[in-house]
Amino acid sequence: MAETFVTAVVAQRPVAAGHYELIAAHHPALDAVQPGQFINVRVARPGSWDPLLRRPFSLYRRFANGDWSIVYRVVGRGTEALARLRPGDDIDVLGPLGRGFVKVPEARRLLLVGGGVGVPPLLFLAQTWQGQAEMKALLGFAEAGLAFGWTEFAALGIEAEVATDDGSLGHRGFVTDLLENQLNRNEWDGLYACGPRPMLEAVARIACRAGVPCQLAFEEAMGCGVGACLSCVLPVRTEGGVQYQRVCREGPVFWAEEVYGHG
Amino acid sequence: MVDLSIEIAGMELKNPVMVASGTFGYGREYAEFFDLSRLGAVMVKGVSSEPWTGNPVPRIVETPSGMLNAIGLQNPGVDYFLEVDLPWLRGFDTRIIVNIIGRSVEEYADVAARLSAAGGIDALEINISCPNIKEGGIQFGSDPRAAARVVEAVKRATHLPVIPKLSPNVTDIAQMARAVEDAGADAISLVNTFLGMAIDIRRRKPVLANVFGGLSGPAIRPLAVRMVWQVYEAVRVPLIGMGGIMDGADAAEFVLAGARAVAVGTANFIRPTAALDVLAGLERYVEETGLSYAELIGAAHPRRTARQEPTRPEANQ
Repeated sequence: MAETFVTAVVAQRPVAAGHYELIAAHHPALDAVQPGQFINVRVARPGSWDPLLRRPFSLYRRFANGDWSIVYRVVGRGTEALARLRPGDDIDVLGPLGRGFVKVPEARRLLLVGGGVGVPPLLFLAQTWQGQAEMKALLGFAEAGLAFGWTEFAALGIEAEVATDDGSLGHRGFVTDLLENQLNRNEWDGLYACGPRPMLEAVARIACRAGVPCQLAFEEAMGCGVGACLSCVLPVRTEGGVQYQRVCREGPVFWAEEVYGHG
Repeated sequence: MVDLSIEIAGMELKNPVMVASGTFGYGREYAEFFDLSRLGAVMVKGVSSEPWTGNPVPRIVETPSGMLNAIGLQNPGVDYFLEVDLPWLRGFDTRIIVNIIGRSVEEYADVAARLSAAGGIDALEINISCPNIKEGGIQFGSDPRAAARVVEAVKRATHLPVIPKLSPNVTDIAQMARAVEDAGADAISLVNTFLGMAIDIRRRKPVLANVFGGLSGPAIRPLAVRMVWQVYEAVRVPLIGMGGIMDGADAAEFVLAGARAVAVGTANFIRPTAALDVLAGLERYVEETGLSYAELIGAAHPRRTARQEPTRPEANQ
């Protein structure tokens, strides 16, 4: 059950150019967060209403003492405000929100595909489901300077392959190249992805062709985060035809075919 | 505890704090955070005679101390509301004010009639002010004669109190208020959002798919307070004030400007319990003044005529 709470910032550390990991103190509200669920973080100073809206983030990882973290890229006023937080400062959180990834019990070999700031929910998935399935991560970034996360996957004993658009780290090209390669070479029975919309669409197409069940975590401009404002809708195929569903409520995770159909 | 109970348009409210239509869905999402029975009233999201799909995304963009939205009145239609949401809402001890929308005078009247026949609804709020749809909505909200026609039609279709919600996107808000009062409005809600837009300078395109959106949040509060003030001086019917109320002090401004009740809107998005915080803050404020809540309504006006608060004994006539 979601709640609003305040906890303390423990640390901030750069993880890539313009990307930071914000580590915050344990709070019981987040003990049962499922991978793919998100939290909505207030970025304005206490008593200020500017920037007005909360910002949605996936958890990145959980530490042995219960502390948890998010990764953000500084792109605007909200993330600039987050970057100014120092250890000991309060952080105001609403969560956990949304419906996360579904663990299919019979699935034994899972491929995790992340693009850019879409990587964090997949690391959290890997950490949460560690030992329950064999996993491999495929991570895509624009360039080496923006890449992060592969050492954290490695620390979990999960191999991560990296692709960069310019070839400055790992495979030169898209993360979907790595995905097609994996699906050609090995048997996988579950695919989990988060990243930019074109990447998700390509992953859905590839997964459909390979016949691998695929779940995608979506991002959309959000207001309330709890399902009241109807800002973050996505056209989803339902029994009653294509209907707008709320990324924050029915999502952010949807089955690939719900959004993109079968191929 | 100070008593904030108040009567408005024939409804007894346990307190004057409502949640504004379009910011609270049909109550379910926020019922997970607090007991809706603590609210004076719930103004549910606009309901139309048939389901509306709403606008494409992006539907929202943040602006300085505010936000623009262009949802497009997505709603499941009046039948679904009556079947699914209303029975559930009736389980709470609060007033249920249903916001109604339409593309024509006939549609407004049709929705009003179907809601009235259902029972268990305390009042109808008429949305003649949504800036985000092509037809209806704002066109009824910017022409006093068109607004009056909608109010008259809805009044004929229902026995419930009728509360038009005024658009602030007009030159003379007092003229609009007088028009709907003369047409039979039992109370007036003000204000809806201000028409605005934001441009993505990198893409060189409007941010919102709908191009224009409605501005809400603290950014509009001084504009909304001013309009409540002007309308208070122009009409007799009670006012429900809204526009960027984030805390009890903000609500007090609206009350002092002339609002008999207030509605919390965008603040719900930031704190799910915002309406309760507003109520607690307003209670503290009233207590500190040593006056009754009724005495504070419109109390900032230098000169009050008998038409506004006829029962106030110490009115400086």
